[in-house]
Amino acid sequence: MKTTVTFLLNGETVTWRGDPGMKLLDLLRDELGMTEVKCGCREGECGACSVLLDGVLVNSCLVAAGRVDACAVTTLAGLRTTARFAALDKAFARHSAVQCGYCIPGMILAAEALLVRTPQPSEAEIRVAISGNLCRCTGYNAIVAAIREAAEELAGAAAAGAGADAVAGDAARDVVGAAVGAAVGDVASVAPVAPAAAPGAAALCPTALPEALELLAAKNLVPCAGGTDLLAHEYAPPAPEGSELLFVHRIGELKALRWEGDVLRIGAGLTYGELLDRSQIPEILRTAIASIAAPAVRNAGTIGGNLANASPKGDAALACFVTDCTLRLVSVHGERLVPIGAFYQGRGRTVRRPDELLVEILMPTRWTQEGRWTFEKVGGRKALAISRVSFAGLVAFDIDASPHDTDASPHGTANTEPTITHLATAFGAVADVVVRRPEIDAMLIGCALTEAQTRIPEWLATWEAALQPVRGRVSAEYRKQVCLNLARAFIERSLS
Amino acid sequence: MGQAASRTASHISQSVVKKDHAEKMGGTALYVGDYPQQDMLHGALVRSPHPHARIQDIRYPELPAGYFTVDASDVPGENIAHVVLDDSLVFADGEVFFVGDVIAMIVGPDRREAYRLARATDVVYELLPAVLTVADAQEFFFDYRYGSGDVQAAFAEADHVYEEEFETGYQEQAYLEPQGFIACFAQDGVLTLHGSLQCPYYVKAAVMKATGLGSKAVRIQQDHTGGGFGGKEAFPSILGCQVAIAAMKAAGRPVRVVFDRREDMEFTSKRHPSKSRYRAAVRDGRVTALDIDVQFDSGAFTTLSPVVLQRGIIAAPGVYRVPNLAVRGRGARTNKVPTGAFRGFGAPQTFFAIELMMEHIARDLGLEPLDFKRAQLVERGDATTTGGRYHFDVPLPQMLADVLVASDYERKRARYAEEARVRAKGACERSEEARARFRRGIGLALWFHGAGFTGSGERDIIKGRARIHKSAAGQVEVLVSQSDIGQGIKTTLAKIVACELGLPYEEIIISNPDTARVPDSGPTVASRSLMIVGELLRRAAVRLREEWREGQEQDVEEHFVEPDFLVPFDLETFSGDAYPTYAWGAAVVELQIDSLTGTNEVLGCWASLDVGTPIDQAIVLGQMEGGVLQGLGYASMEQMAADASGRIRNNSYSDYLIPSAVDVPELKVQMHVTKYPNGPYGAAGAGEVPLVGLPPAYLAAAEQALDGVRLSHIPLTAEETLKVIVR
Ligand SMILES: Cc1cc2nc3c(=O)[nH]c(=O)nc-3n(C[C@H](O)[C@H](O)[C@H](O)COP(=O)(O)OP(=O)(O)OC[C@H]3O[C@@H](n4cnc5c(N)ncnc54)[C@H](O)[C@@H]3O)c2cc1C
Ligand code: FES
Ligand code: FES
Repeated sequence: MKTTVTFLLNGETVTWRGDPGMKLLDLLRDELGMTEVKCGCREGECGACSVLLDGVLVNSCLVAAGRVDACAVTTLAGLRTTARFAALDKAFARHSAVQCGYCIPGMILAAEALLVRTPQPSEAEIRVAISGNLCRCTGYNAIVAAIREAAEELAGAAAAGAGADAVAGDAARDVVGAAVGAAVGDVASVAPVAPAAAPGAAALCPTALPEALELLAAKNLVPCAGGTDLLAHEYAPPAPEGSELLFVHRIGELKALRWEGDVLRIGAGLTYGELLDRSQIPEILRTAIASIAAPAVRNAGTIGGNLANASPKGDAALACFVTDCTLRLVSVHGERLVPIGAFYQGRGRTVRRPDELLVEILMPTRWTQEGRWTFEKVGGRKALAISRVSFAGLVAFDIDASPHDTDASPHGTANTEPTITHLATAFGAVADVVVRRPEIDAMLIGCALTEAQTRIPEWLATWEAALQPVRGRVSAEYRKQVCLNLARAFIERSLS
Repeated sequence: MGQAASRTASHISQSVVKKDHAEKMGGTALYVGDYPQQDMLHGALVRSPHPHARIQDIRYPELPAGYFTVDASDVPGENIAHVVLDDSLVFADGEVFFVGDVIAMIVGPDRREAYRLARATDVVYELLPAVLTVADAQEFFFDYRYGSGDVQAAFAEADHVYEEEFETGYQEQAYLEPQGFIACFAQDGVLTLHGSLQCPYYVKAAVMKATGLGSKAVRIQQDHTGGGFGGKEAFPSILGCQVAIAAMKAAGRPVRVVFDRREDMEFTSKRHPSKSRYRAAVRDGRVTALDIDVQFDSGAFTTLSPVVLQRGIIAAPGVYRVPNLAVRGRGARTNKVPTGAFRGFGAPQTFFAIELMMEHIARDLGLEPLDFKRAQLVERGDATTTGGRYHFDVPLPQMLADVLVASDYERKRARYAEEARVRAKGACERSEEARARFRRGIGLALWFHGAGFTGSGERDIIKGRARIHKSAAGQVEVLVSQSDIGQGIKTTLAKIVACELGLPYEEIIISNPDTARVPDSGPTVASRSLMIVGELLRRAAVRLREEWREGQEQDVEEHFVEPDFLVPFDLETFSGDAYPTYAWGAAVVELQIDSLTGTNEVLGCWASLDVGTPIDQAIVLGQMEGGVLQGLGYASMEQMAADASGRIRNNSYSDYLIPSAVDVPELKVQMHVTKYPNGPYGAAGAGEVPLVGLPPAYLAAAEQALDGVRLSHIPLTAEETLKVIVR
């Protein structure tokens, strides 16, 4: 099923007709000849294909072509005339930071995305900003130094020329800004392809929930949010034969974040990047999200996708499990609230019916506010790492001390001894579904501290019997050992 | 060193804007996958899913119009992909020897369709027994031995005898740009190939043999190449033959094969896994003899194994003065992907073993490894392992001093030892410290890297020639077969020529090599390009300066001449100078281990490296930092193995992890300079040395953090670490 996509590419309108599930990377390179966008892996793991989508860094290999309809795409070619590029160019040259050059277009876009938001980044911030852009040649030092130097030069120029708009430019941002503002179709098409003519030619990009639900009820559709899962599998097309992608990123209802009492209602379509920008989100969720992949994946991937893809390795999903979230599924026939534990039927399988959308995640925050928490992720490296084992724990006591002062050690007497009011633990990447067993944690709930301490071995033994990890990139024994180590450390620390 | 050299040597190291900076920075540099599509045909390879099998039949699917097949029956010349020896085939002929062995190619206008047809090709196999581990190997491609002194006597007289086995795993080059070629057989009968490669003349020789075409009819051009690290040294000769033959069937249309990441990771050459047994005799606190048996897993064909193995065993005794040596090295034939060149070329495997062996002996003797090692370092004038000489200064003591200061090694070493003592004591008392989650350690390693080819390769085989062309208008062009794969060779060579001619560096022309235009100045390997070809060019430039005629076109060519101080090397007996000089390395790694999960985090890494005069400070520093990080990855996260069916499943960037920008933020390299008089301005070989010694430094640090346990292989995984902690 072909659709027509119209978007701004480096400020010029492009109209293209083709498979909406095609990778933006292939569209740019093969169909539009933008070979400055490099291809290193086709699965989001190297950053060579980085572009800006509406000003935000993404991996073009994980973006469906249909998704970019009415968007602005910026490649390296779109930056070459900006002040920021000039500064980066000079600094990269001075540090000989360009070796084989294959990672460079992606690096520059990552640097651009960073400097637009953080004009004077620290070294650590620079490293995080390029952590999804692998470079096998340089060891990164020269690149980091060059970005830093460029930032300093731009800041200096901005200070010197404060007031004058031509400097230190937000030239690059202007390119993007103009692009977004101009929206679609006011410039002549530069691509010699058929204009939108055929019926149903536009990609399915509803902006309101009812419209999306009608479509879902009527057709065989696969919701595509960030596409970071759907597009990551080279030999499995995002929409299988006979189905189509339904792009949900424009649906306002999926982008809302609001409080209802102490429940945080999180729109399923919020990306990790968007969530990290919000101060309200609980720290445990923030920590979980910050551990995911790297900026470009975080800018596209959504919390809803992390839950709906039903992977036991989902980091945001683990945070949702340990906080006992409820998921709100909506269809034309109505809606239902499903406790997270009941949502999953196995690896990759959920109770979601094809006509339903996951609209919101309802996260109770009472315990995250009152209690102590931990989120531990064991991956193979510090960025771009899928969990090999993960663990989250949440515990709360009734103590007289201020509920916020959770780190104060409760050195009370028997009379004032705190009691465990809540305990929740969850283990990721060990079974087909995240393991959360409230009945095991209930063993310690209601116990006074000293009593709870004596019951730790029993609690751990029960977990030991309950956890039957599967083998994956690491052995089952390792997984189990780590689970128990992390659980023990968490509970001992919490109860000491 | 001539006059001009000393006049200019002081500023030759000053960095310039690299020759290829602008086009790579702006994204206009074309890599092989970037050439426009029109007219292009795409090839997809049909590969064996079995490690060893007889081919009974190849049944191609029905091919749509415009598609054709290429297999052994299409090879016009010899069905041989020439590397060092002639055992690699272009297309399998009746038998396959590893998972991924290439049987045929399907070529057509649509890449996806070609891949689909390749997958749909039904090959009927009769399965044969496969050898998947070195331990099971029945056949060794090579079996080298050398030695010196009286090993038996030394062991007989020893105070202590130690024996250990060490293992290293695969390491994948993981260059960002996968391998690829475009080939076109033009109407004039010239077959042109261009692609991602290190050695155009290697590819040319191989293609001539497989196609039967003459020298004038085969032309190889290097495209901008997105990293090599050895991975594009020999493998392109094989892929090049396959694509060349496809092009000869394509009636003048270009044929492109560009691998995707998985195909590249799974089926192209990688570092040899190794297994080494070391026996050491110690008397009066010194190692008096080493008896070493090294086995490399060569995979199914010899490719570069002989030369990798030679370098590996020559380095096997390390940087120590050991009077009695017995060294054996074998390359095991297994039914796995042929292993080959990767930065360090056999030496990282053996330096890993000797450095850890020294570490373990020292600790057993109750000595600090630092002191034990420092007391036994080779010095200028000493014999090398093969009875040559260390002709020049051995700067290790000074370099060691530098990294000790930079890393604050001794204080940290003592502090972490104290932490371990407290842990050991507290383990019984269940104290807070004993249960401290993170454990720290610091370790060091010392090494060399022989500069240039092993033995007399330059003199006997390569016979490099380098040319400078001057146009009538006075424009100067450098003509050599060196390929810039990121290491900056175009820049450094141009600097040398500019410096001698007194011309602005920017005015020197140097392009990616094209065998139709450049002489064979040898391959871009073995840390030789700058040292050997750079010196040839320097000499050519001196001559051109002296013979300069205004308004006339001139060509000046220089040929390799063996330095006269060398003790000639004999490969039969492994005797003589294996290398004219050495690059040196000293590194300290500090790390922290999470005792709950076994994960390791590098807190800091400090290296001092001596590669002679850096012809461009920033370029050399970049080489060093990149190499050091690869070495740290090799020790830790870079894990790859063939499974019980002979398949490598770590074939993507999500399953084969290389360090990201946040993994080792504290990586500090300093340069030490010992000038090599026969290299341009004192430059020696730089490319490979930085990687070599990092794994043993990493493991030494891990051993301290793990309370002195003895580790014996890399990569050190979190899983193994945790086992050690639990035990
Ligand atoms: C390189 C890389 C690294 C990664 N690292 C991590 C990591 O460290 N931790 C981690 O947890 N994940 C990781 N992921 C996985 C992925 O990024 C996340 O799971 C992400 O949250 C998926 O969200 P998405 O919006 O991109 O999902 P999509 O790909 O759009 O969709 C995923 C699935 O969810 C369905 N879906 C999406 N939205 C809805 C909705 N509103 N209603 C119903 N169904 C819906 C889709 O139909 C699809 O089946 C990584 C992925 C890549 C490519
Ligand atoms: S190609 Fe590697 S992230 Fe897209
Ligand atoms: S410069 Fe080669 S990958 Fe970064």
